[in-house]
Amino acid sequence: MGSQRLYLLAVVALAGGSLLLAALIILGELRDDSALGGGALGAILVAYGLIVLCLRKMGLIGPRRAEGK
Amino acid sequence: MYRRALTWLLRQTLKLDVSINRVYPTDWNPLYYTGGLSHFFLFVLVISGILLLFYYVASLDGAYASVRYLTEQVPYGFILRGIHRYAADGFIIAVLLHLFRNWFTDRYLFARDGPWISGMFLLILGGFIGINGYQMVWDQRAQAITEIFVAILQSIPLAGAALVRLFLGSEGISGAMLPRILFLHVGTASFLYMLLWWHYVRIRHPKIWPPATWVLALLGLVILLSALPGTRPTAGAAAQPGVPVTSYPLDVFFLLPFWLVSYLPPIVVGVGLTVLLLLGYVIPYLQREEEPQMGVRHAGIAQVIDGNCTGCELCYYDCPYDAIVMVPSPHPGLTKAAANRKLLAAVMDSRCVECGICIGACPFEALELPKFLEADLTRRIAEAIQAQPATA
Amino acid sequence: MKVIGFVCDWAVSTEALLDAQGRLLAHPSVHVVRIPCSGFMRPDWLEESLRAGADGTFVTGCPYGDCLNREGNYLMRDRVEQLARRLQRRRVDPARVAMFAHGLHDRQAFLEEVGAFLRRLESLPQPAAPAARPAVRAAAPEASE
Repeated sequence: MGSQRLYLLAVVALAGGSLLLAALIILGELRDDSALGGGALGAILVAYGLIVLCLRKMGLIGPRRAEGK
Repeated sequence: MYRRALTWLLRQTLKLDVSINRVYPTDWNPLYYTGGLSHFFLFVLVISGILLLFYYVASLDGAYASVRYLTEQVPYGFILRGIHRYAADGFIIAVLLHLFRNWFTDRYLFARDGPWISGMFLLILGGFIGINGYQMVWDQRAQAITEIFVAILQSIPLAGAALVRLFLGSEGISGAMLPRILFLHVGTASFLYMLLWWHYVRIRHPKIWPPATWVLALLGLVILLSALPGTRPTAGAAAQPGVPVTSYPLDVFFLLPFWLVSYLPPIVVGVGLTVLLLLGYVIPYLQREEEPQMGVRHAGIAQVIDGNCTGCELCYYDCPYDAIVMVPSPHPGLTKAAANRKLLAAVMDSRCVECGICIGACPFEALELPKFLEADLTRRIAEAIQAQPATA
Repeated sequence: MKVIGFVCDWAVSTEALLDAQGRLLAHPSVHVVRIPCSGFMRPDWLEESLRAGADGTFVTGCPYGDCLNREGNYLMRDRVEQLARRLQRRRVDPARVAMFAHGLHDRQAFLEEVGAFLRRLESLPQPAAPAARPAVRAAAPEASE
């Protein structure tokens, strides 16, 4: 379905972006640049949060266990 | 007037949900987890605070230097400071959202005033801890707010001087001050967890953690803000007691009263704040009239029908407020199923919010709501079935 | 066709949706009974509605995560699922009992879901076995009369 593909695209894009951000973290470490490393770390966590949301919209993960089913 | 305003606010609050629930599945709507968000930020504050404590020196000469050292020399030091600061701002935002949402949706009635009162204490102490945090840095801003704080305290008749000694360790700014403030900051933060016990104690399954997507996204946001050039924490100029401070950057979440003092006399700010907070404490006791639709129906406290109860414990497991306890049965029940019971359900009046969930849980007709009996429901069903079809 | 819907006090607002007898204007075969919390419904009462002659019955609670009483709608959802299994053993189609979750402003979504429920009911063989025929005949005083 159209929306499934859109979410899948978003997940792939975010995952690719996360890879890039991980590289930036390493770059920040090499250059002793905390701002770069820290910023990339923050951005990667936001990306992970969005990936989890897209997976939920796709139906691949379900509600919190505490909420049943 | 108050009631109508509240009803309007309730409808607007829930209207917000409609938009949010288009993006998020309803059980990931952040507004349903405002308590969890607050707790999450508190957790981040505690962890980052412990790490900051490794670097902080609590003396008039050493404080600013240690903070500056952390910010400029330690790798990721300014990130750690930023995490602590932005988590604190996030904490206040989440707590205020929590307050307003629970206020507008009537989630403080009956026995839920316990969480409300403890929540008000948590809010006040949280704000106080934040102010202490800003003081600990001992830069120009810290000096300014300390002087204003002392001025507000000294304007209180009778108790003023004693309060200054309590919060500062001596009559004014001295070597005793920063260790005292450090203690107030960390000790009060630990005390928050005791208040949280009170806050959670009457709630079954409190939602302590928000959904994973929010944990990740908010942690990431806090770290990101700490790293970006516009929002990165920096070290201001050091404090110089005796030299008046002209201006300082304002944090709207914790330092608003201090900004007000530049426009109003300190006593007015102090009294105004106190009145506002006292009004907050009173909220659960301002009765709203019952309007069953979108109001809380006062259906009466759940009553156990002793003769029918078999001690199956289903109501005990289902009550969201821990209002039902199982007691050893003092005498056998009347029905066959109840004759051999070991336990009897008992409803604690002080905890019952008259919701009726236990009625739905009971398979043995041993619970009733006084103003909405099974007979009433059966009658409504019969009426519905017998009603003439609507004339087209 | 007769359908009885139980809507909790905090779920979708039906003020503008009902006529004088408590029927939905949009779906006149549906009678709405308002209850304090969706968790208040005993599964027995849903069966009772079917036994009394309703073709279907539903419970509407708040959106999951926002129940005023925190867990009422989750508990009711579980109970309706358990009820569905019991009804199946008694040869009553479990599609006749449903659980919905709609917030204050979700009138449109609520009416659409009710409409879909009604269409589903229409397509069920009429009637499914009389709901919950008692296995044990009441000791018949009529027999001796």
